[in-house]
Amino acid sequence: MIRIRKIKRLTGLFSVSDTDSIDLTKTGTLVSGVVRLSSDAADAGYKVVAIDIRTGASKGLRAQVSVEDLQDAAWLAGTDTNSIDFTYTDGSDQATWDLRLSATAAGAGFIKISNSIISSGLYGEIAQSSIDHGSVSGLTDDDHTQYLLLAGRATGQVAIGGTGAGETLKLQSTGHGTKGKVLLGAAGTSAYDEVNDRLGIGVSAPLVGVDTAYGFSIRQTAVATVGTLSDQASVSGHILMTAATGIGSIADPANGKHMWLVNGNTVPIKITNNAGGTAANRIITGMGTDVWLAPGQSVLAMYDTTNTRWRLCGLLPGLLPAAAQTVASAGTIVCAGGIRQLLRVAGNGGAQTANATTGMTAGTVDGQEVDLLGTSDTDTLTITVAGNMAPNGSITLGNGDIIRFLWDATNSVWREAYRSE
Amino acid sequence: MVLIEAPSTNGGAIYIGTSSAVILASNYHSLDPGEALEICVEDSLTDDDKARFDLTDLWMDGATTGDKLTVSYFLQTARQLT
Repeated sequence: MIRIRKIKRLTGLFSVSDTDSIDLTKTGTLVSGVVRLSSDAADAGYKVVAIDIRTGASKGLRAQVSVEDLQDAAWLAGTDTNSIDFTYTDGSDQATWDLRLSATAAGAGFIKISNSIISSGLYGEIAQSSIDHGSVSGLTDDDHTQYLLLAGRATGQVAIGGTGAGETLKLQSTGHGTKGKVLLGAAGTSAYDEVNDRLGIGVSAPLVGVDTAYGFSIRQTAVATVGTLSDQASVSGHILMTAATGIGSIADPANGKHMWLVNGNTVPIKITNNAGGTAANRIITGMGTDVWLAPGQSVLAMYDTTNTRWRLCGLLPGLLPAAAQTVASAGTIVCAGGIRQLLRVAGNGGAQTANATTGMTAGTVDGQEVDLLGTSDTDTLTITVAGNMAPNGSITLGNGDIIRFLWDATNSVWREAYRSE
Repeated sequence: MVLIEAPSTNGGAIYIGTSSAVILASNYHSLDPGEALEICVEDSLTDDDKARFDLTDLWMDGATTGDKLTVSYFLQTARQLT
């Protein structure tokens, strides 16, 4: 028998050719044996073996590999000292061809990149200079409801400054050193003038701290407390006293704070001068004495933080109510106090003459007014020029007769200011 | 056994046939540069058919002038060990 065997060229691997196939076959029974293509293992610089299998008609690697082998051997177990690179490159430079990583063909799975520190999710690092936010589509979508939408959002928006105690929310006109205004409302007719720190309501260029074109209101609170109010709460800034007969002090003072006091009672309300309650809450009437607020009358109290007292503004003191007096012979008319007082007087059991030394008790403040009104033509009361009484001449008060005295604190004398007989 | 070797430095194929008319289309076999052809005459003590091969029946030609060819033959004998 003649046997012919063709011996392929082995010295020129780069040009090996065969009609059917070129085979590298491991023979033997050793299970762990492998067929290897490798570079010089001893040369650290040339350990990479490039296998380039291609045909004339179809470029690229054409091999049949089981999916499991591909995953286990090539992908899941891929390791490298520095990096594992997947690069699509082709000489034809097709710009529309992609390098893809897909979890499943149906697209239902996720592609996760993780390491030992970040156990799940995608963790990547992209050069910031390569990111152009403007290239993202859907920029006009309202996807971030945690941010204010300047064009407005359905059902409205809420802007909250901080999350901790005492934190603030600031609105500023401009970041420039020269400030402008913060306009309120679409019309812009109300404004906060950041330059002058003024607020305009209906006024876009406020001239004072608060400049309003529509007036302002201080809401009223009715106080039904009976008797004298002491350390009365001043939260509302406007109280209507419906049952009180006096007020001695106002609580919660503050620098320049305003407090309207309105007499909603049917009797005068006494405003105590600098007495009662907490010292810093007391009221200085400005008359040197107590004053009375007539029914329906009101007065403004403003807090003087320098002297830590409330001070009354624009008060025309009401008359001090007093019970009618009958004066015995040589008796003394009792002046109860107050800047103005109307006393109804008559002789006790007939015509009487007041005391020649102290016809009426001394006044409490210089200029104090007392009107004496006679109530009887039978029980008249005569006042002579004597003692601390200095009328222009003696006067006998019958029914309807009036004489007005002013207290001369310098000479401790009641002096006549007016009479009507 | 006959061993015909075409050096890898050859520029073309070496054609091997059984007649002097060795051409590309009718050759028995061809060797590219670097390839070799081994022709063995096998005989065994069992059949002992006295197979023989005559080198004069072997014709060779080169496609490129100047190419070389090495032909070696070995006389193989068999002896039964006793």
